[in-house]
Amino acid sequence: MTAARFQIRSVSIEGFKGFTNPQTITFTKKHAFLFGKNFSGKSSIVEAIRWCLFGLAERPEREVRNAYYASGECQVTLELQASEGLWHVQRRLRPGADRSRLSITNPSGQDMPQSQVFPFLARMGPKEGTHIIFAAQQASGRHPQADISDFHKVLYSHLHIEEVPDLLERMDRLLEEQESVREDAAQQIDGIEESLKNKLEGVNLSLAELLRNPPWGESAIPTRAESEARISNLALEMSKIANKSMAPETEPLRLIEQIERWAAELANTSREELTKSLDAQQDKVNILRKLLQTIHEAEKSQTETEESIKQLSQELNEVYRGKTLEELGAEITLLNGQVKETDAKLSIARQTEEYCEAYVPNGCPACLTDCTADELLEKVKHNMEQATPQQIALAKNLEDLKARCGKASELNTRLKDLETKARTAEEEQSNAIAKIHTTLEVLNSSKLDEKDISSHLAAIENSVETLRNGLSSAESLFSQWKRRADSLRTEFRFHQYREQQQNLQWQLTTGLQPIRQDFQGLVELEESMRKIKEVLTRIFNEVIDRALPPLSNMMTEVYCRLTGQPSFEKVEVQRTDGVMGQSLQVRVGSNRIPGQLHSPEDVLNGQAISALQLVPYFVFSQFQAESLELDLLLIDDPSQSFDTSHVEFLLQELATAGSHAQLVVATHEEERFGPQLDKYFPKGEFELVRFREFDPDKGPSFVIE
Amino acid sequence: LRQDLFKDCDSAYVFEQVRRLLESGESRSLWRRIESELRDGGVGAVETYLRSSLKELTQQVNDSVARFQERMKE
Repeated sequence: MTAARFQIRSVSIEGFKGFTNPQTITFTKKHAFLFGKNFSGKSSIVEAIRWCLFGLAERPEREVRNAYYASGECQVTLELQASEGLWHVQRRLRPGADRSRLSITNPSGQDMPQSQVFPFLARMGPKEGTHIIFAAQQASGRHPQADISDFHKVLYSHLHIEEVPDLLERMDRLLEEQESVREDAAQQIDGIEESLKNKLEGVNLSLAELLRNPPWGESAIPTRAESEARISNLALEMSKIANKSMAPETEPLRLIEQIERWAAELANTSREELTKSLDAQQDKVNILRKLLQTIHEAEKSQTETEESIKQLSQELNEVYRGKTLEELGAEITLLNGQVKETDAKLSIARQTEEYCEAYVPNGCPACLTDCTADELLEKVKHNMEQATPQQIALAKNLEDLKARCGKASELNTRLKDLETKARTAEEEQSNAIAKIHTTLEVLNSSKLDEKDISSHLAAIENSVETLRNGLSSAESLFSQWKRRADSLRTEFRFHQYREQQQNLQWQLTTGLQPIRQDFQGLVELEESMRKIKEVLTRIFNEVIDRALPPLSNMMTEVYCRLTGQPSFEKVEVQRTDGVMGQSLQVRVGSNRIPGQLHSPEDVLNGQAISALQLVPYFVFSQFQAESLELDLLLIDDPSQSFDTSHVEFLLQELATAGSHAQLVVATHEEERFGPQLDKYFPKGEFELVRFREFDPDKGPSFVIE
Repeated sequence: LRQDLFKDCDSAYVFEQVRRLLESGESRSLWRRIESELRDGGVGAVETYLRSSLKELTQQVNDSVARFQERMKE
């Protein structure tokens, strides 16, 4: 059996797990058995050696630091004996750091990479380190499991087949990565194809729409050259009408735009001119109609006023009764004098009557004529009786005269107003006629009667109609040009659609061909990879399936030696295909019931499970002994649930493994292990490390024997 | 004894069987290339070769697509 290159000579621990200050355990013999009660620190040594070699891959490394030694270092150093001298492997977790650092120095003190010094260990990693038995104490309440899923790499390595799963895994990863890349490319190509199809559908629809009512009607479909000639001819025609020069070799659609511009310019110009003339003539018509209305209204007003004047004059004559207004005034003055005189006489008579009645005179006090008072009184009464009717008649005459005068005055005022109105109407009429002269641009001296004006108006209205017709003709002509241009555009578009249709059809078939070919090349490479992967997987599985029965037999042998199981004496390793590739699972069964296999934890007791846990380590350590740089079996409390006889079976297996491997075994069962060691291990090949008290401040204390 | 137990269980046997099963076609020539890479640089070299081949072909597709789109714009 080939000896491993290295052997552990010492382990120095500081600030790791239960350790505080630096302590060193030197292994002077090949194997070491660490005895001590639970929580005495022996497991910390096993874990320290494992951590130094592999670190903690799946958990935060902060967990290994002794929390009560936070200010100090956390480091483990292994001294490895090799033929050329002592090597040092050190793992250090700096304060505050999350990950530890490994350094390896050769006997000359040079740093060396792990992959170069421990290629096998580096390749396997902590999970597959089967030669490192780490059947650690199980946490209470947790069922131990016989898990060999971490051992497949060891098996592959032993079979010299590890390249195959590695290749499969890498191909798998590549194909998985490629899937999204290919899907993206496929989507892009589909997108282009979809877009081309949509465009083609659009063009097909446009063509169908155009062909429902083609501009060439029932005639044969024109060629592109014919359509271009028609466009060119219309452009030439329009350029002459519009008096424009035509640019040579203008593209057909541009020519059509040019035609439309010229037609629009022509239409605009004639539209503007005609509209201007039309507006002017229309204004004239409106003005003339308004002036004519003014003349009619003035004439009517004048006639009515003259009639009123005539009536008023008659009425005034009746009021005057052949007299003038001045004569009537003189009569009023005269009557006013008479009325005053009569009033004075009557006043005197009344005063005389009062005098006679008061003084009874005997003569007239005015003329001093002798008469009696009665005579005088009678005379006065007589005069008074005569004066009253006269006075009434005078007053009536006066009232009558005054009324006549008032009426005459009022009628005169109204007459004057009517005369003013008549003059105004006459003036308006004259003004309107003057304006008509101006509007018709006729000399003021020319006489225009209503007939003449109506005749002029009719002529202007005729010209308005003519202008309207002209405008309509201009619009119609423009529409005609526009229709011809539109028709030619549609005709030309037909050729364009046809060309687009042919181009899109070509792109969809021939144009996309290079992309499809390139994509096909990519797909074919992936398909080839898949096919190779499939064949490789099939053969690989066949090989593993062939290798598993002898492996199962080997495991059964070790398991039976360890346990002497009467009920489930058969161990079988099965291959399962998982998401992350293959894995191996342990099942147990019995030759008495062929074909039935069980999960160990379902049918085995604690001791059998503990034994089964150790089986893969013993079996696989045989596989790799020849390739190991460091053939080491680290065992922590392997005899849990073992009775004394089974501890012996275990020691037997350990002795077998110890023939090639260095053993570091930690157990709290010194009384069962100790007495048996000499029986299975030659003296001088092992030493005992006894753990005493554990002090949280100082760490574990131990003696080496 | 162990050699007898695990006879024809190594990579060489697996690769020989793959060669035999892939008698023709694209996958056969790809496998030849993979074997050549395995001999020259191991599994890492195979991965590098396959990755670059996939990348090259993907790039070729992308370039063709870009050229086509450019042509369509014109």
